[in-house]
Order: sequence, then C-alpha cells, then structure tokens
Amino acid sequence: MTDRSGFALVMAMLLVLALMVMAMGMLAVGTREAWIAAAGARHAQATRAAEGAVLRTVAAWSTRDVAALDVRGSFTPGDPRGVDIERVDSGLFVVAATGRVPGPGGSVTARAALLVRVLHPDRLASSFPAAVSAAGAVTVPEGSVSGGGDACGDPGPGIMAPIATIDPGAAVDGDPPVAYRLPPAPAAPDPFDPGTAAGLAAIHHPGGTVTPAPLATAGECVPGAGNWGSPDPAHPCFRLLPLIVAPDLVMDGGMAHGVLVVDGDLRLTGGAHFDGLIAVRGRLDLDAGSTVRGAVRAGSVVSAGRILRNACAIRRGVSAPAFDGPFRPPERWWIPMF
Amino acid sequence: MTRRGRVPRRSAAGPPGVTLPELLLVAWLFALVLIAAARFAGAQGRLAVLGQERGRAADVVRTTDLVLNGELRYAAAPDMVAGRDSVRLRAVRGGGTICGGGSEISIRYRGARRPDPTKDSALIITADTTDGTVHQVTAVASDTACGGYRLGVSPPAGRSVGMVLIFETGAYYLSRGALRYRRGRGGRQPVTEAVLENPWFESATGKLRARLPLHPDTFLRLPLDDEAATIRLLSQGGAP
Repeated sequence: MTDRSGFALVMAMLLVLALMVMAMGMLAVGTREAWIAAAGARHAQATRAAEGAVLRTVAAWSTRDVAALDVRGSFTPGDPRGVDIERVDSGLFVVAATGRVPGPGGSVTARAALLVRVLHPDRLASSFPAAVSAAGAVTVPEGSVSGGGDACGDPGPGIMAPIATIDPGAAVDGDPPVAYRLPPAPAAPDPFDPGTAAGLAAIHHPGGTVTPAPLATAGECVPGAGNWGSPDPAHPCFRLLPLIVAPDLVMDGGMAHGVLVVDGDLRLTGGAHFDGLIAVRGRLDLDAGSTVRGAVRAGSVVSAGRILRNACAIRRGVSAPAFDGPFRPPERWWIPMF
Repeated sequence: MTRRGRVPRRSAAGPPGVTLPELLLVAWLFALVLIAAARFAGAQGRLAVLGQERGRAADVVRTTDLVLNGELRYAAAPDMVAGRDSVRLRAVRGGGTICGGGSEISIRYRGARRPDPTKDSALIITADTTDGTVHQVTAVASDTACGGYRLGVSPPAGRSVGMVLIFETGAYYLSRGALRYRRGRGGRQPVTEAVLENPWFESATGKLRARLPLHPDTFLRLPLDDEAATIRLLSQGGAP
C-alpha cells in the first residue's frame, strides 16, 4: 500500500481558505463603497431634479397666471411635475419642488425652493402718484398739467414736487393741483430705475433723436425698433406695449405708448404724443404741442406741452409684458425646504 | 522477475528515512515557503488596514461634504460668516408659511425637528423684507388647524403673512482632525472621526504609504475674527 502521510493537502486547503477570506473582505469593502456611491448619486440626482423643476417653473413664469391666487393659497402647475407655487405675501411667492429618484431600498427624495417676487400693478402705479412727479423743480411756463380723472380712476395730484413754478398762462388742476412734497421713494425692486429696466426692456434704444410710428402690414403689427405701439385702440399695434430704455433722447414728433425709461434727459418736441408712463433720471422737457397721457416721473420737469394724468393709460403701462416676469430678491433667493 | 519502472524498496536492513542533505533541502524549501507565506499575509494585512483607513477617511470626507453642503447650499449671504477654519451660520431646522397672526404666529411647519424655544430663532420673510427679520422664539405650541405650530416671537411679528425659517445659530469647525459642530456658545462636538489632520497613512513598518483624500489645508480655510459679534449678528439680526 502507498504511504500517503503528510500535510500538503491540508496546507493547500488552509491557504485557499485564507485567500477566500481576504477576497471576501475586499469584496465587502468594495460593495459597501459602491452602495454609498450609488446612494450619493441618487441623492444628487433628486436634488438636481428638484432644483431643475423649480428653475423651469420660474423660467416659464407669468405673473398673470398666479395673480388670482390668494395670499396663503397655492396651486400645482402640473408641468414640471412635483412643483407647488404658494403665495406667501402679496408680492412674494415660494416655488417648491420635490425630486424623487427610485432606488433598491426605496425612493430618495430632495426638496428645493426659491422665492419669487412679482410686481403688483397697483404697486407699480403708485410709483407715479401724480401727473408729474419730480424730486427737483417743476416749471410750467405754458400749456397744461391735469390730475385727470377718467373711467379708470379718480383724479390725483397734478404736480407732486418740492418746488413748482407755474406761470399765469399755464393751467394746472388736480386733487390737489400741486402737492408740495417729495414723491414717495419707489419700492424695491423699482422697474422704472434704468438699471433694473435695462434687464426687462423689449427695446433698447441707442439714444439721440427718434420719431416712433406704429407700423402695420395687412392688419398685423410689425414690431421694430421704431415701432413703439399705438395708443389708438383700433390700430393693430395697440396690443404692442413695449418697455423702452434709452440714454439721452429726443422724441421729435411721432406717436407711441407703453413705458419709456430714460437714463439721462428726455425732450418731447414736434408734436410728439406718448401714452403711458415716462420715467426720466434727469430732466424732462416737454415743448409746446407735445402731449403725454398717463404720468411722468423725473428729476426735474419743464413742461410747455400738455400732461394729462390718465388712469387708463397708467393701467395699460403697468400691464406691459415686461413686468409680467419673476424678480429675484437680491438678498435671498433659494431657501432651505424640508 | 524484476518489475521495470519501479523504484526498488529499501531493504529492511538499510537505514530508514532520508539522508541529511535531503532533510536540509526539504527544511530549506519549507522555510522559504513559510517566509513567503508570512510576507504575503503581512502585506495583505497592511493592505487591509490601509483600505480600512482610507475607507474611514472617505467616510469623513463624505460626511463633511454632506453636512456642509446641506447646511450651506441654500444659505443666503446674511446667513453665514466665514472663519479661518470654520463657518458660523443660521442652521435652518425647519420652516413654513405663516397661516395666522396676532400676538403669536401660526406656521404650517415642515422640518427636521420641532421648534425649540431654548435653541431657536425665527427668520420672518415678507415681500418687503426678503433678507428676513430675526425674532426670538419664546414659546411653541401645536396648532392642528394650521398643520404646524403656534410660535410666540419677540419682538412681535407685526404682520401675519410671509414665511418663517426656524434656525439655531451654530458653527462648523474643521479642527483637531474632525468636523465639529458648536451650537451657540456651547462646546465643539465632533461630527466625524478625527482623521483629517493625518494626510498620510503609513503602515507600522513604514513600507506602505498612501495619501488620504482630505486635509484641512486643501478643504476649508476661512477666517472667523469676531466670534461674539457674529453670533449676535446671526441670532439677533441687525446690521453687520
């Protein structure tokens, strides 16, 4: 019989066992790392999904869509999914979304939310408390300034300024005709500030002299840099309601409506007619024969033309599409949401 | 008859076993195998320890990233003050919409925990104050009608609209090898293991050396100068 004593086989088995133990240990470490990495990836995906849904909602924002929502009211737009819009104050909304990523141990969820400020038309209109508002002097050598009163609202002050000089040949009326005080400081964000308006404007005019005229072809309004809409309700360009931003500007004749923000001085001459809101950082000159129907706000004003505070024109001005978008609060945008 | 191909058996009269050179050869070979096996096992052990150390360090990195990212990702500028090795912040623990006002405010609350008057302040955000006004939370009671809590706040909120963030003032430090959290003026409690100040792992024999993935030098260096002022600023509001 062959002698089979020895321990080589036992040694080999022990060695294989030891190698298996070590391999299993390595495998366990690797598997754990993979699980952790996968969980982290799912959490990141859920966070990005929530943030993406919030940003898509804000990108498609229209204040008109949520204007009817009561304070503390909320609604779910449906697209993108998982988004809630809640009105927490008259001019403040929270857009919140939940991102959900399924996984082997259940779904991973993450929430993201941000604040959206909106410009309320009444609040915008309050930036124009009188037919003429000025932080400096208002001079009316001739022509007229009227506080108005029409189907859209009661008369307001004709002039609101700390200093007003009215020649006997000029006509000023309103309730009161002249309010000798500084106009109230506009609430932030002030879309009539040239810096803010530049980010909203539909038309960036380079300045100089312009004679805007509504342009329509075959009954269709044709937008363009020189077409600032028409105040005539029968004209196809009545629906065009642009926000125009320009440096120093002379409007020599022509007809327009909307909102005009001038980062400098503005002169209306040659029978120019503008319906809506005009905000001028510097001086506004209105020559005889020129007309503004709506309201103006400027550093100082010299008006020999006709300025009529018209609540209907103001209402149309503040409903310009440029003001329909969301505004990012400068101090706080994203908020933690649980 | 002689069987071919077979080693003849030693005669019973001859000496049994192996010769001395054969024994020495076998012993030498066996020693070689043992030494190799021991070295292999040692290397495997060191590798396992290294893997474990790196795993621990990776856990610390992940935890630090998760915590700081969670706390700071949505923090606004007024909510944090950066330090040399730390960041002091309003650590938000919950929030909700104000659904009723008066001397107290009711909020529809969602959060990581229940508001606590001993720890928390309330940041009230409205359309006019999106940076928020800070109020001390003086009392907390459940409000089932609102689906949250009724909070006593000082000074009173004034308006009954807006939203509230409930926060505690805290600070995260990367010090003495760990991420640490300090609430208010309390002690620094470690959030992670203290492995961050040892960027290199060395085996006991010094034959294995590997770089760990995190060191405070490469992670976070922020100055925090006036501790008392920053705590006051965050927990009570006001101008910086």
